[in-house]
Amino acid sequence: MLRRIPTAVRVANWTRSLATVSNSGGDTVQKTSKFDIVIAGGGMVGSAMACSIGYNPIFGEYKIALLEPNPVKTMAIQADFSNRVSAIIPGSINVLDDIGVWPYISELRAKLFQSMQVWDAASDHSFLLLDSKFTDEKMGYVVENDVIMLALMKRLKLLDSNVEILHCKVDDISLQISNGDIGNVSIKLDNDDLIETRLLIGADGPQSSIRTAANIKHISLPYNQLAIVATLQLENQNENVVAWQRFLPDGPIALLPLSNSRSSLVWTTNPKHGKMLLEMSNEEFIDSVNNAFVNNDHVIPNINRISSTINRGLNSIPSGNFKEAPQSPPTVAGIDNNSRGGFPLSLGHATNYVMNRLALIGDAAHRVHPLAGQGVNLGFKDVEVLSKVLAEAVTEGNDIGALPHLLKYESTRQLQVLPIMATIDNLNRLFSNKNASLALARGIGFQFLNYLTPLKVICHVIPLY
Amino acid sequence: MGSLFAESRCRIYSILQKNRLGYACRNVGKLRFPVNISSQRHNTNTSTANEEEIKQFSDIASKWWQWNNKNMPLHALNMVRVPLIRDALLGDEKSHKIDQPRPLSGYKILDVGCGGGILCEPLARLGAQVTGIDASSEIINVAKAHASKCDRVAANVSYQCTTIEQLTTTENAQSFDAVIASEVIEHVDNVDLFVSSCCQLIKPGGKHIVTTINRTPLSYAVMIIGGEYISRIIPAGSHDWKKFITPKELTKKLEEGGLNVDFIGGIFYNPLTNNAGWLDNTKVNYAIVAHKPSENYEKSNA
Ligand SMILES: Cc1cc2nc3c(=O)[nH]c(=O)nc-3n(C[C@H](O)[C@H](O)[C@H](O)COP(=O)(O)OP(=O)(O)OC[C@H]3O[C@@H](n4cnc5c(N)ncnc54)[C@H](O)[C@@H]3O)c2cc1C
Ligand SMILES: C[S@@+](CC[C@H](N)C(=O)[O-])C[C@H]1O[C@@H](n2cnc3c(N)ncnc32)[C@H](O)[C@@H]1O
Repeated sequence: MLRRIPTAVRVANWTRSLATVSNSGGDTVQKTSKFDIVIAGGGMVGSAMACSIGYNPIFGEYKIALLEPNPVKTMAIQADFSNRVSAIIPGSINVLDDIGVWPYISELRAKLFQSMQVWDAASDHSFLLLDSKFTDEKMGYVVENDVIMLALMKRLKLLDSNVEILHCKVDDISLQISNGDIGNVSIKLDNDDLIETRLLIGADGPQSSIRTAANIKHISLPYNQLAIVATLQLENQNENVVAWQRFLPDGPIALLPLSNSRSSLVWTTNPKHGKMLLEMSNEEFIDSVNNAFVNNDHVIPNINRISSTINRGLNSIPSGNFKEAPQSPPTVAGIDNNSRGGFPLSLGHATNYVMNRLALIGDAAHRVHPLAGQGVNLGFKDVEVLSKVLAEAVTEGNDIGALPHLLKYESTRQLQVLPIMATIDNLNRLFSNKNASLALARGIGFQFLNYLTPLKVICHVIPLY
Repeated sequence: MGSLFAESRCRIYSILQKNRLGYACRNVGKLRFPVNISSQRHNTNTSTANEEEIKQFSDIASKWWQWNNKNMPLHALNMVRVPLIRDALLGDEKSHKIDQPRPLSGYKILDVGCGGGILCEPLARLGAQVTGIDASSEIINVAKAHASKCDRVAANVSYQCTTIEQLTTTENAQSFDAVIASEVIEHVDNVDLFVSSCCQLIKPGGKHIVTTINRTPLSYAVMIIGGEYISRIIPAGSHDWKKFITPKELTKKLEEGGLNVDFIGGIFYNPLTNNAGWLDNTKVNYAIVAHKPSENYEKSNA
């Protein structure tokens, strides 16, 4: 019964949106093309979804379309690094490998990072070192978003016959219902064409208009934070394989390796400070970054004393674990031209990921704070789970857009996404705070993590980058 | 939210059809199960169609495909019966055909008492050539209208309003790779005629798949408990517990029809999660797979 109530609501919501369209639909008779699966939004997640189902022979007879209004930015790799990068975790590498995309990425440009050091500005002793030598798995790769897109497009070109790419935007959607019997989804495009599909996959990003049109509730929380990104040049150009993240009172600052000479910056801070960072000269900006990684202004003396005591205590435990002294991050010497940019941040979550004939993936379903580098990784996991559920539906002869199997995707993903979202949100709130007792709590937390927890577990519970 | 609850492990094995609410209410409180029942109905009817039953199904014809409606258990049951039928037909070919979009291409299937086509449609999508028959013309019209909405289904399915015994007079005997009677046998008159007609239409080497409800104290109890809250999920039908047939009785009838029984398995349906699956007992719902022996079986279009 509990399962039945949301089902009822899901039908009702859609019916309402039908009214909008039948009024605006007009009387002109257009010929409509019919598809089995339409993916709206050709960002990283939507394009990966298209590759995934386009590549699987089980969908061989299905008509699939990918809708993306924006033309593909580049069809060749640029010499300069882009300032939008993602930290791709091993789970996502598997997904991308399975759909034949990872080989293109590694051929183009991807930087392996072997360890990651996270520490707290309030105490020198609160730091966490995640290193691939403690786990069986690699930490991950830093890849420019443009490179991921380029690789996905290369792959899609080869799947030309299976996936039709339409360069248009979804204006409105409605669900055809007659006598309570559910028909197709009608999609009105911005060029006034109408298309129909049995399943619509909404991959149209955090402001998803599909989510809105389907009346899906969305909880969103703007963070009073701005993310500043830039491509930075390093002073010492030797091995650059560590990702660095330091929690400052206004938000974390992170440096991700791009090559031996370059690292990518993601600095989350308050909007006023963010604006200053965007407007200052290159020299001032570089000084600010270097200073943010090393200054001791934020150390809370008592915390420092307590945590160093704990440290000594922990050191005397013959726990079999190791303790490594924190290393210092590389010094920044320059910045690539025009690479500075700023993005407002928010957290968002759709109460439902699916409705009859509709599934949301990627940022359309969930948007997280970039501090944990989870955004696109969560989206790739959506692609994996939804593809599996849909393939199963095909082998059982199901209507591809029927709610029961879509609900399997939703429950699997919400059980995985919600705890991660909560962890990331708590981390951000916990660290972006000057309160001494909170600082102490996190300091102690870090120390215990370092000593007592198998790092593999941490990597799984809080998969930072 | 609902999805979290779906994970909860409450197992309520319900029946897939139910007696009229009135019947259930009358029995609440005296959970005494009628003894000395024999499934042998001394019915000399020449038709298998029970008028009252057919009328009851016809009355809900227009609601057959409504989502969130009373036929949810039949939709859920597909999770079990579609793979069962698919794998029974494919046999050893399964491993290399399962990843193809239409693994059942070339198989001819008859679905007896097909209703609105909840089972015909997935089989058609898997590539089988499906004939659905039902004694109710209203329901057959609903089935036709629904199939026409999906090209992939429409191309592979045809519906006729008829009974199985009539079909034996028109259709070439022994012409189907599989004959299916899912959730029907408990509604028919003259079970012997029904079963022998089904058996007649199966090709040598072809399969017969039946799903139905056992006649046990448990199925009786479930019907009564079900009366309290499943009534909204399951269509009211003149479900007579006495008409239910045990696996043993059915096996005997199938063997009399010249078939060998290969498999008998229990099925559960959980109305809270709308989930169905296999169960290690056949006390309520169960499925039987049988085949008609043959030395050189050839599939229809192969
Ligand atoms: C500063 C910053 C740093 C980040 N760092 C990381 C990181 O290190 N690691 C990580 O994993 N993630 C990171 N993320 C998050 C990551 O970028 C996003 O999670 C990811 O881009 C989401 O992909 P998407 O395909 O779901 O959505 P989007 O990339 O937003 O794509 C949506 C697409 O849909 C199209 N579209 C929109 N409306 C319509 C319509 N009506 N019809 C058709 N198409 C439409 C758009 O043109 C667009 O192409 C970061 C985000 C920010 C802001
Ligand atoms: C419970 S429904 C099952 C429908 C379908 N087999 C399914 O599982 O989705 C039973 C159907 O059998 C039909 N029926 C009952 N007795 C019949 C008979 N003797 N011949 C043909 N159809 C019959 C009814 O009209 C009804 O549509």
